[in-house]
Amino acid sequence: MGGRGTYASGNNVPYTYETVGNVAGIKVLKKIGQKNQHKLPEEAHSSSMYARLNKDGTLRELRFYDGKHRLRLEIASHPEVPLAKRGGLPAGTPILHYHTYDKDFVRSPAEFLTPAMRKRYAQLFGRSWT
Amino acid sequence: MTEQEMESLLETLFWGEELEVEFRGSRYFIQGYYKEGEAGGQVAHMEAFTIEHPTLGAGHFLWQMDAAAMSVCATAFLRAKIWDGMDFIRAEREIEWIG
Repeated sequence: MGGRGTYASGNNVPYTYETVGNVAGIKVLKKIGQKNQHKLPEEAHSSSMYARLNKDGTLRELRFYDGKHRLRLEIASHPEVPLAKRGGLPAGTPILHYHTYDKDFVRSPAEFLTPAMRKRYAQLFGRSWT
Repeated sequence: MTEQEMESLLETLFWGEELEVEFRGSRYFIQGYYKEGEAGGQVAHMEAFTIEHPTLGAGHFLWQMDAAAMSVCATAFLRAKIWDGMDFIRAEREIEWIG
């Protein structure tokens, strides 16, 4: 499968994101030249966590990176049909969940937050940050 | 979509990251991940389901696939005629990447 990043491999690549806000001290990023916040970077440059907002200013996603700048964890709130079914919830319900990434950028299926994740991050979701 | 956005979207898709798009007034979610295969080991899985649709409602799977690699799923997804009979490339002008 192979890894993804080029910065993480030690290459000097230009940073294509800009900081447009913060969520409890976590930088909110937007890709330079794009009007919407579509996605967060696949590798970190200066921080170990980044945030992305929905259009209404609520938190959509947090990404966590390891010491080698690689994405390892993603916590997000949006519909996840398999989890909704498992939890007996309507299919379109936004579900607070996480995915992990291994060092080759292999993404895991969505899982409900662990109690520790919920205690630490759940309160950041569901309120506007703009 | 601009050329830059399209390039970014395709990269996102081929790595199995999530996409939320709007097409003709409805919203859809596309994502990939690796899961346990039936014969053991891991398989790449990609799925597309409705978030908001006037007749299908939420949570209706338009398309899903398992394959040995995410790129195989992504290629098949782009060719699937799930956008009112069109594939993604034909429908792209009416698709807005929203999240």
